[in-house]
Amino acid sequence: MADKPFASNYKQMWLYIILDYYFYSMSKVTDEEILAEWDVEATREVAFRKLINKYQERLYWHIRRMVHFHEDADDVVQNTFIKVWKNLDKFKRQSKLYTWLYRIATNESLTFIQKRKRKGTVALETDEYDLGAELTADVYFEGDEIQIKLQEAIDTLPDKQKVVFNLRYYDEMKYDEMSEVLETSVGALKASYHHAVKKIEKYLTTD
Amino acid sequence: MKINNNIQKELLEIAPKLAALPKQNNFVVPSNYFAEGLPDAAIAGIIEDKLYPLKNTNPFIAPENNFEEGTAYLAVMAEIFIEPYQYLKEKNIFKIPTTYFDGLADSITEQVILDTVNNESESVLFANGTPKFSVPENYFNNLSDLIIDKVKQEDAQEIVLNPLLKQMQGEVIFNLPEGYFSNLEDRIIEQIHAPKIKSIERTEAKVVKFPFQRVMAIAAMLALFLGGAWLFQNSGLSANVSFEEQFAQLSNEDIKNYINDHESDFDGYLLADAASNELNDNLFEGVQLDDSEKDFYLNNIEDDIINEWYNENAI
Repeated sequence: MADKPFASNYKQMWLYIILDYYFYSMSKVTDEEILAEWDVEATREVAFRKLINKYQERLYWHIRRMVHFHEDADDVVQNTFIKVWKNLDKFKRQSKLYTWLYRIATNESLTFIQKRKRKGTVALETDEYDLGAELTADVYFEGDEIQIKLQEAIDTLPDKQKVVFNLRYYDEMKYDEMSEVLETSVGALKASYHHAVKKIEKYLTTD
Repeated sequence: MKINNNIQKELLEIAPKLAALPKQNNFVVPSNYFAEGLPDAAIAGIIEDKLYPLKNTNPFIAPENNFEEGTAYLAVMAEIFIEPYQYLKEKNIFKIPTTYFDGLADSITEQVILDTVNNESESVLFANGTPKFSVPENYFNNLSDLIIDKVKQEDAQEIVLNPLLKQMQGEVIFNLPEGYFSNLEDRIIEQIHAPKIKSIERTEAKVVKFPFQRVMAIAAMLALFLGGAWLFQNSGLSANVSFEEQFAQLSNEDIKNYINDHESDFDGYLLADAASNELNDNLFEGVQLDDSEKDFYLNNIEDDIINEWYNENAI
């Protein structure tokens, strides 16, 4: 994430304090409050803004780790929230809101990756594609050689296994929550993560 | 102390806002809870009172911590809680048939005889009436506990990451433009409110240029109602020939000129629909795709490709 610029004077410092408090208070908004405001037509947009504020970073990073590049992640995160806007009325509220959001974000990411492969603008399935070189050239990537190798290793996984690995390794999501996101049994997810870790370890330790 | 600094540093990198929050205990208890609430001493007193007679008369050796956590403690607690309900024991709520016990001995004897007859023959499970396979004593009594313990052990087991993977877990490698999240919300709201108008405008703009071949067929039908006589006169055709034959003899240039001169007489949406069908046919010419694959490409084709096609094929 980009660093906050240094506050050169007191006005800026107070502005940052107020903004920090605003974002802190936004993060304290509960899902129940958001959904209650959503149910009222007059406050629907306000509720939606609160939802975006609360979940944008978490969903963004989940998407970014799937699609790698900021421009692509930007497209997908916007598509995700637009889909949320269109479908929040259909959310049954039997599962947690954030697992439902993660499910949409995951599906949008996978759809985007499939579309990118079909368009042929990035030959992801061929030997010519060099993810490491692409990441090194990307201004929004700051990893060293081993981090690039890790991203390449993750990229060798099948799409769904990639999601399982990212959710567990980076987001430290519990298996029962992951099961709601991916609509897969806990046992299958544990097996998938186990295989993913083994494959990645092998990739990292092989020249 | 070293470990705490690393965790704080890691937290600062991953979630600076969270790291900046002061750590405080937000939990409260009712006032005087520890002075007047149900103290552990009161419970210990009850247990000791119940256990005193057991201490001198019980010949069995209890496991370590039995009186704090084990079965004796649980038994005493159970006795305390069940005491108000002892009277229920005296009332028998279960019913049986009236002559049940009269015939019970006979039915059991009959069952024993049947089992003996079955067991006497040589079978997979029995040899001379004796089961071939045996299980340890109390095996089935303990089996459910064994299975539950095993399941809990497997749940508790975590995949152990190698040190390198563990080390990389918290490192931040992806960056993004400054202030990205501050305007993301506005951009999304703008998209939600804006898109439909743009697509309608784009469709109307496309009507200006439309493909040639398909439009000719539609123009032919309209020409019947709007300018049939004019076409026949200019082409010098005989009245005895059918319209289809006469139309087939018309040049493309004649029809093209007629449409251009009478553009306002044609239904724009009909022409746009014909244009899209024409586009579809030409795009997939010579390519074997089913309808769902064609739909996928059509939904994802870039606008500039469509515009380029129109520019090349416009009248």
